[in-house]
Amino acid sequence: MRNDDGLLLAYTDHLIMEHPENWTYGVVQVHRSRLDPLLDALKKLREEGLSAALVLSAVHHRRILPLMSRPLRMDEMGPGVSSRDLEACRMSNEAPADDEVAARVGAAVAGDFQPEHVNGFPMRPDVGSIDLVSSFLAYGFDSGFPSIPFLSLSLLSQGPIDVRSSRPPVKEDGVDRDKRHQSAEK
Amino acid sequence: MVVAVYKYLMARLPFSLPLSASIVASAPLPSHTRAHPQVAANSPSFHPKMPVRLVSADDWRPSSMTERRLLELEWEGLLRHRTSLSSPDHREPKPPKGYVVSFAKFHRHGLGAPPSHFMRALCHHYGVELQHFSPNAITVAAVFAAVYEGYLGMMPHWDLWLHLYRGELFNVPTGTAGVRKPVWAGCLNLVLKTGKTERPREYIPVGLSSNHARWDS
Repeated sequence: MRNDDGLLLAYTDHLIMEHPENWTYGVVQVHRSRLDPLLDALKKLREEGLSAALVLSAVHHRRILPLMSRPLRMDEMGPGVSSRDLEACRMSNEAPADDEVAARVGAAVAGDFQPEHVNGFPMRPDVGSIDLVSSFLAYGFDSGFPSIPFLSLSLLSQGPIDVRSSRPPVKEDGVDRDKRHQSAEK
Repeated sequence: MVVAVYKYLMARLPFSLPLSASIVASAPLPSHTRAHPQVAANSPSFHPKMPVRLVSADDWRPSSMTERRLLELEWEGLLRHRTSLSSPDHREPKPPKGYVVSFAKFHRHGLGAPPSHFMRALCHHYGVELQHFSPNAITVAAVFAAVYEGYLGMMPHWDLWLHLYRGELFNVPTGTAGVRKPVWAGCLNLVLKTGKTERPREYIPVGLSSNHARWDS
């Protein structure tokens, strides 16, 4: 696969024989409470019946690859966005048939996934997607923030999370940090 | 006494002692993401029942990827045009400069080129190259990213990822008790933390396929 801009580690004949310590790292206890709003949201999705199989079926139905760089987040792929951006997100012009989607899901997760279950739990902003914003409004928020995304509303209920602190770190972050250190030392 | 000390140490070592270690660079982490002592103590990978000795890895399985199969992946909407090359029958991968080793299964499970920020972060954090991921690791990462983007409306939350998942080193049995072989591809499994202190059942059900025969060819 092409490794544009060297975003991934270059291939070597590297054999991993030790279990690195950081593979089991978690979040220290004192910061775990900051995850509670997100865990509550996951609980809600779980209670509504979301499973990995349904997630994957929605992904294939929408013709996207979750681990590919895209101009739009999945929840942004709705009306009003540029068709050019939508095309850049989608991998094909037509949605695959439901039995094809079911076969793809069946190859990835355990269980017998049937074609009639494809896209049984639509993603935002599709018709039929779960409205977590309303469920959080039911906790006592007024509806004065219709355009604020779900995360912000959920945070209001349980205290702020520094979302920036949870941006996945990548290789370039370390390079940038080193440059800043060198610049500061001059 | 010596035996008792040995058993004590082995019970607490996080992994086996390899014959020749190839050290993986640890990525720098934010100060709030560190191993929780209780998590480490209860993690299955920290409680080997017996010491494991690693022997030499088997050779790579020759690639069966052809131009035709690449076109099929593109036609199925699982690969962007001209983002991959095939190298059928190569005994071991020798990607040209600017390319890395990938597998058809990865693209069937949600990987695309160029990789997303989250995918790059996984490589960076675990200190691995693309071929080190198992197909199931790609699946769980893809599902995690899709849950966040498609249902919660946000980018994948890194702290929550570290809270829910851990990496496990996979190696294959040799038929001799206590002796295993490392693998060139698929050595990183990403598994939900399910220990007593790891707050189990906080995520959606993820039952993974166990049928990935000859995925690495």
